[in-house]
Amino acid sequence: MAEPTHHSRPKVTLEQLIQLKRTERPPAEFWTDFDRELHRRQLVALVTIEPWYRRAGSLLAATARRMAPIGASAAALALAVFAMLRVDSTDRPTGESVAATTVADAEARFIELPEEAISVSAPPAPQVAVIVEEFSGDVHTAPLEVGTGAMPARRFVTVSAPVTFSSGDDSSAIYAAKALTAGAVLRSLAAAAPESL
Amino acid sequence: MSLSKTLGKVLTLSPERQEEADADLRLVRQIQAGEVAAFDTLVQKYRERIYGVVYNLTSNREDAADLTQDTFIKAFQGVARFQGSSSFFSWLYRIALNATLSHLRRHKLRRFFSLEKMVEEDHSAEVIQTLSVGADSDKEALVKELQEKLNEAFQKLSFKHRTVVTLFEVDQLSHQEIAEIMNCSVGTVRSRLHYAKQQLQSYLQDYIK
Repeated sequence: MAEPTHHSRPKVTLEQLIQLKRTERPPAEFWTDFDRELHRRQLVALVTIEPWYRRAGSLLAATARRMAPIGASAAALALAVFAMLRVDSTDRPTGESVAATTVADAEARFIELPEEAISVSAPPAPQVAVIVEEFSGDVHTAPLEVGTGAMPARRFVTVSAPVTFSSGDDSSAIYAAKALTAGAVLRSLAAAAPESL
Repeated sequence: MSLSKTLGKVLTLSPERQEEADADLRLVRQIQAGEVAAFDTLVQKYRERIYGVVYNLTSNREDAADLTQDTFIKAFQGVARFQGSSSFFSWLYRIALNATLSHLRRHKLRRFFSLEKMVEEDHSAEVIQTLSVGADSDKEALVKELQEKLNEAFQKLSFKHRTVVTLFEVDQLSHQEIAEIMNCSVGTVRSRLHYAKQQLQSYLQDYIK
């Protein structure tokens, strides 16, 4: 089809043009079929009972829609609290960072104790980093022999401040315990430390 | 609800519309009381308008027919829970708009025009007569071309803008009624309408003064 010459043709207003859309209508017989089909579907709707899971789903969806603002507020509040706690904890040097700094200053070789070798039984504050360096049994604190019926006897040492242990056998070994608090119990040292304890 | 929305709602209904809304509500109460046949009256009253809105939003007559059916079935299933906090008319329009929007989202990659024939009326004949002066094509071809361009232009608008233009210019609802249906302020309706018309103006500039 040849493109009409738009520039030469008289023009109309936008409203007049849009009004043409009102003339797009189905023929009268369309409504006969429409009504018949709608009645059929109405009857189906009347006799069909929705399964319980669909009804439950609709109910849940409706409830979720109503609760959405509350949920969003709670999430925002939780996020804000979390963010505040994060800011607070990053302001204070943690045991880990202090330990890392101290050891780095000493240009020491760092061997981390395995997670399961560390147990903190004291309340979390005040936080004091404990560096366990060269190890020996007779420095600062006395080792304790503690055991239960179910567990084999283990060696424990109680520390109340950053302490240094030295080992006669392996002077190059440095053990660092991460994020221990004052008064913490450092458990299972025997697993990582020399038997001289 | 904001003050503007509340005011919009209060101002929405003219006396005639209020009368209509009351009549609709009486029918709704009858349906709720078990007189299912009363629903037919509501269908007869609104089917062409709902179909017109959905058709202008989809530019597809088969989709419009299906969605209009869906709208009435949903209304039929939900009418027992209808409490009358808004008019039945705006509740029904909202069902139709939601059904259409869901349909368009589901089929956004598979859409094509299926247009109704334009019924010749006085005002449309006048517009076509005006436009056909100086056109190379015959009247029938011009009508077809115009219809396609109009529908293309409509479909280029966002759903919200298309809805506002359709409800205002085609369905001839008031700003307040549109605001109630779309759950927004009258100002928002006006600004959407203004923007939509600007867009249409640029898409259809070959035909517009």
